[in-house]
Amino acid sequence: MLAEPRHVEESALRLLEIGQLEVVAQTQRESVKLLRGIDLWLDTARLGVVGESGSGKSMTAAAILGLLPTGIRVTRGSIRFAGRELLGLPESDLQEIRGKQISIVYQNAVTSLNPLMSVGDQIARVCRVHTGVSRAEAWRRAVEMLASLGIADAANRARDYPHQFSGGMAQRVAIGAALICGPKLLIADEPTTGLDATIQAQVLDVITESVRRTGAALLLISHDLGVIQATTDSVVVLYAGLVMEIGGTDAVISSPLNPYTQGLVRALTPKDDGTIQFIPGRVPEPQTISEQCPFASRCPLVTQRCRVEKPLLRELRPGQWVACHNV
Amino acid sequence: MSAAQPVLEVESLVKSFSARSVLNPLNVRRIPAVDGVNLTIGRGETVAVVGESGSGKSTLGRLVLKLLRADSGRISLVGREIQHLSDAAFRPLRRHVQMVFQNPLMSFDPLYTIGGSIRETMRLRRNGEVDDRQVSQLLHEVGLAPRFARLRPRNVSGGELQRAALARALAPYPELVVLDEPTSALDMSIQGQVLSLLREMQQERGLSYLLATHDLRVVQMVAHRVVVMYLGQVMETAPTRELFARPLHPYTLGLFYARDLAGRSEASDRKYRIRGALSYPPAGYTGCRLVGRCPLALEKCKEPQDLVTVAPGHAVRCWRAAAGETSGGASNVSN
Repeated sequence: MLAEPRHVEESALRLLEIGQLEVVAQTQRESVKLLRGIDLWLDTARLGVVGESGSGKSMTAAAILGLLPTGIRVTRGSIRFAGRELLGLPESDLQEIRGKQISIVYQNAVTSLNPLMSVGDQIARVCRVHTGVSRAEAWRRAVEMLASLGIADAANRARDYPHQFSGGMAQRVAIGAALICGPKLLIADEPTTGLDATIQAQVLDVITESVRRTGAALLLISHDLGVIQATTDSVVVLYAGLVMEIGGTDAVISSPLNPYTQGLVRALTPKDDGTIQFIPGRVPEPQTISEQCPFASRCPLVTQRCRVEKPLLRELRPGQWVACHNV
Repeated sequence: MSAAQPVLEVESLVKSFSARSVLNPLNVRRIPAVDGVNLTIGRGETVAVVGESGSGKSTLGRLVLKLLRADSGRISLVGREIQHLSDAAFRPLRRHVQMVFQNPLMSFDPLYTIGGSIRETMRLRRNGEVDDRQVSQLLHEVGLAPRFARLRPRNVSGGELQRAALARALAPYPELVVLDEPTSALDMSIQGQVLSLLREMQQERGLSYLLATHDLRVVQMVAHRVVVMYLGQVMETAPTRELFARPLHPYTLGLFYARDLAGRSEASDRKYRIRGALSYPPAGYTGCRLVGRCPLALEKCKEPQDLVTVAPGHAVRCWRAAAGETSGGASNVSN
């Protein structure tokens, strides 16, 4: 099923294009929409996805990779990667794509790595599975990759196990495993959450530098607008399973149009008196939202229309799309 | 207790842990988690302890709560020295100091209702009174409906449970609440609500807070004074406003710089960037512990550094900072 015509026309040019994606969690009693028809596309090399928990950012990543948890499935929409529809592909085709063409780095590297395998083996294994090179060649590439990610004494460190690495260093290993096959797209899902600020800055530099060097596109998921601002060219703002705003990162942060984005930006910087203006209220439970704007319960501009009709994305400034009835 | 008497006084506090290498159990290292820390918290005051993980901020909180026993030094809580007390002797004083942990879901007993957990800390009160109406009253004060008393931790949201954690901490009428990263597990919009609640409770009850956090925005919102720690030592301490306007220690400057992700450049990197990761100094080393990561380190930094007072309430453990060699462009970094 396809979304609006603009997706069809331009899809050949875009590496990733998601149209009207709907993801539903089915329990015995009810079905709950986690993504309620989201559109996003990669026009730039580095796209950020920002949102609070429950916004659907990680669900989006899982849907792209065909790794949605049991009981959660795509009910509508399309995910086109390099011109090819990923939804409905057989598992064997997806396995060919995962790790080779699309890779992912998760939040906690220490737990996403295998504790019983040396880090060099883990990276070399990805390489062997997807490219069929010899054991020795795969190991050589793994060491080279670790060195390029700023791990000193890589030849020896490759023999160490994940628990011997600090959080920041383990995340470099995970990035290495993700990039070893030269993927076209790297998804980084909260790659620096839980790391100290000093280490976060280093890891973000490693990600930025390595996607630049390898030519991979980056889809960076974060709850932290500061991280998005520092590492991406364009941004998608998600809220409770709906895209609220899309645009150039600088444009969206300097002049946000959606009231939710405006609230996020305000919360980023303290006022002169040191206080921070947070968004009041809380994210609604997904089962309580039906055909309405999910932000209606917290929005300063709310009108009756917001409570009964879902806002659609409109291009209000060149390249800046907003879903809101009132802007 | 007189109004002028501090709620908490910590003097020359030391706590070290031994770390044994997994592969070579004979290789034991002493890790100085808290190493000669002095700290005073007045009535109604919030002191924030900031630093990376491994800086010793959580250990300091645990020592004050007597969840850990100090190696040496003095801890005085509402005028009573507590460092030598046995658990039984400390129990009557336990009500004076309570705690709110980072992850509310892990700090509540999953089998107890929220009301049950609150009643449990009520038993610390001097007369041990437990009153169900007071449970509702406490929940009301933190903005929760009475029905929350009957719910279990997994059935409420993170923000609501953190409110309940504060209600539980307040139940025995404490003077001091230790807050260990109280908002880091919460979403940004919920963080603000919990921080406002903490401020309200402080104003109503004259509470003091010892706040351990790595989040400088949280510090700016709620703390009166800041203590910057690195590897167990206080590197810099100042009133919050002063520290944000005029950070002096290269470590403090580096923490501000790391937060300003969009404002980085190679020129600024050379001045402010803290390189690498925290690592423990070799045995016998007495110099500044930031050498190796500090962009401004010189040979003289390998000598012992004292905490030098540079302005009222503002002290820094760095000879270059004390000599005024680090402050250039500092306020730009913090914004």
